[in-house]
Amino acid sequence: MKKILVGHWETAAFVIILIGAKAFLGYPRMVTDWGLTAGWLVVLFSGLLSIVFWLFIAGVLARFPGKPLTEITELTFGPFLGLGINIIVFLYLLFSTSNVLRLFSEASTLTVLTETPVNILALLYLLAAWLAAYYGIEAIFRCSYFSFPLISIGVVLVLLLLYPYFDLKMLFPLMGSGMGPVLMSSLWGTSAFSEVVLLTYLVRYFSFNPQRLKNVGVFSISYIMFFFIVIVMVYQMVLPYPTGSETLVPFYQLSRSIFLGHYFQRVEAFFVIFWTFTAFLQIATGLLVGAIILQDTFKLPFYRPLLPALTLLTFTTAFLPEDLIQAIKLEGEIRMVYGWIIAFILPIFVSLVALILRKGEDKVNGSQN
Amino acid sequence: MVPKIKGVLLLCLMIPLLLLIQGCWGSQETDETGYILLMGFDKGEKDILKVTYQMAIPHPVEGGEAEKATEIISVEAASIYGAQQLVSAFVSKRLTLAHNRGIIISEELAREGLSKYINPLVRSRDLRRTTFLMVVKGKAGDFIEKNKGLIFEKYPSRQIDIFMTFSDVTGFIYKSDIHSFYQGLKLPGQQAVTALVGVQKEKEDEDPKLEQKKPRSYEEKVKEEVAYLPGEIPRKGGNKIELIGLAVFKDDKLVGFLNGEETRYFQMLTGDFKKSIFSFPDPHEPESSLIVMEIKKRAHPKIKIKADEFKTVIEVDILLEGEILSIQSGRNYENGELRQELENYISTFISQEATHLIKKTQEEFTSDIFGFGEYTRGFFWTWYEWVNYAWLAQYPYCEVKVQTLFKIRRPGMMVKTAPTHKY
Repeated sequence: MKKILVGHWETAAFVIILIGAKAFLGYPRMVTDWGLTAGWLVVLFSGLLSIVFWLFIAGVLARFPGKPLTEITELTFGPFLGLGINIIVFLYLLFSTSNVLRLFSEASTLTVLTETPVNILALLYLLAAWLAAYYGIEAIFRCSYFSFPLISIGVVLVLLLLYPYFDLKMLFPLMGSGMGPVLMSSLWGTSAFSEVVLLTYLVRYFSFNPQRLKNVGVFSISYIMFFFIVIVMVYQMVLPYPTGSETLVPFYQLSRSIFLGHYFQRVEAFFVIFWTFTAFLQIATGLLVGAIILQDTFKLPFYRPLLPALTLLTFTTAFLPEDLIQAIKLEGEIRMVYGWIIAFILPIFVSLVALILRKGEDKVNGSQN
Repeated sequence: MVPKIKGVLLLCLMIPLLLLIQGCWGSQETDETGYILLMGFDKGEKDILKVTYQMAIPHPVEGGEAEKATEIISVEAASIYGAQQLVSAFVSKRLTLAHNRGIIISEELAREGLSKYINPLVRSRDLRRTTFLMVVKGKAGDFIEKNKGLIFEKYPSRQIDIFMTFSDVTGFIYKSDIHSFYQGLKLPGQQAVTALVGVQKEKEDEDPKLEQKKPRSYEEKVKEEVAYLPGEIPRKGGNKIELIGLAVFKDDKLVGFLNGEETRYFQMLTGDFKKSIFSFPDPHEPESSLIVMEIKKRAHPKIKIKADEFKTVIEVDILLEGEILSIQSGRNYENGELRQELENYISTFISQEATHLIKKTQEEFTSDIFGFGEYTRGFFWTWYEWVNYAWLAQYPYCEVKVQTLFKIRRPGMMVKTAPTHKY
């Protein structure tokens, strides 16, 4: 069977779209809630902190060339504890994907497909995501690579067209909620960039070395951090705090605000295309990486047979929150506030233990020899 | 061959999915839909709210001219959406606000407070925040009703669109939408305004007190050329409605109006002013001649707030330029000292009027509709410090200094006026 490998540009595009997808759901509103007028500073600080976290994690991967984090965890903690940690990561991923599915379906119901039952929407989205996950990593990465410039241009266009609303005064007072809250929220705000860690579970599919993987991560976080900062700044100028903390789907609201005369308005339909695409991609990736983690954890030869069960599980979990407000709270008050612990701190903990127990050193030395 | 079969099978699987695609749930035939173009809110007589709708009557692409383009209906209910639903009892269309272009609110309702009516508008998935928002002097229902027989356009939505673009060329119409009004309600550094509209007064509607007003001098007539509120413009013909002036709010309540003249100075102070035609009494013959000038914004006004323990000073530099349209006296104001004199005269005139307007908002309305408070954001590190500064409470006591820097850029198509022979 042909070995599937993806290049570094595809990987960077994949990470950028995966992280960037949250700009189209509630992320600009969340950082506005945390930092008030300094929401963009929260993005800047959390982005920089995420780069530091990533460099640390990428360092561990370099000690175990070609091994995914699931395997490294087992090597470090042994099969029993390692399995437990991997299951925690899997459950976190399941929870994240399910909540994205729920939020995306609910947002679609509220904005564009107002009469469609939310469970039907979720089912259709999930079936498409299942198909993408079935086709595997190559399909998802290539799709990201293909759509990445289109989405980037689309976002830039929407932001530029909002220029009549630009008012820099709205970004002041500069420190927003205050130095302490801004720094604290910047720490948990790293959850926003945590998708980069998914790369550590996919290392065996990369055609490049761990050093380049490190660079891909740094580039992706920096790129999307810049985009997030610009999006949040524009959002806060168009819908300044406190109105900026009210909007359910900030980017959609921004695109609805474009009015450049009688013949240039109602451009949100254009936005819906890339909004939908990124959400599909995020759900498909959740399914795929979840299946790969389970495959690696339980040493299974294939991941595809796991997809039906995983799809059903994601669908069921998505509807555990009673209503949209509960799903928003789960995203804003649980996943975004504590997600970084599982996404960044757990792998860092694994790497620290590996460092202390001198795991992986033989391999490193071996490879050097 | 096998991949081909797989592809065909996949396609066969996907086609039924396409048939199930989510759009089918929300399908709505075009002839089922009723497009609301304008919506007006008044206090109800039998229920809380009276909502008036002007709806489009769709026409076939081919065929003869239809009798009328719109239908006006009104209904009373407890809420905006309640009214919209109640319409289904007597209109065989499913109403949508997706193409609604303007919302007109009665003066009476606006004086009671608009927060409760704005909330459903910003929450709406149908309605855009770019929808124009206007307060009518009188009743919203009357405004829509009187505007029924459009003369120059087919639909009122387009008519309002065009009227609002005149904001850029007249300055006395203010382009206000739900978005800007909502920001005015929520931001701690400014208060809200909306465009002011009204209906042309019939002879019998005219206020006897207005009739008894003392006659104005020539100079006053020149200075107050556009100082009208809706319904007051001395005219004949055209649409029955008038858009001129501004409705001033304090918090969410209407507290007063600005006339067309004041609206132009308001826009100069906020930076929204683009251009407008001004008439000034000739400095040398104020009782018999006037000068007409097209004045344009040269740059955004420079606004500085200086605050210490004892006083807060608002300093505004208005930067304008102009083109001479008429000099009735024939004096050569285009060059030399006369030009300098005219520039200084106009600068002083505009500064005085703008200062007078700010004082009016401080003393009469106690409302910072210019958003001067937003310029104090930079004084503070955190949002809470700024909010505690309580700008809006301090605004009425601020000292005001307005300076206008006006330059004549073009003399029109003449460089000077040759003397007229007199025998």
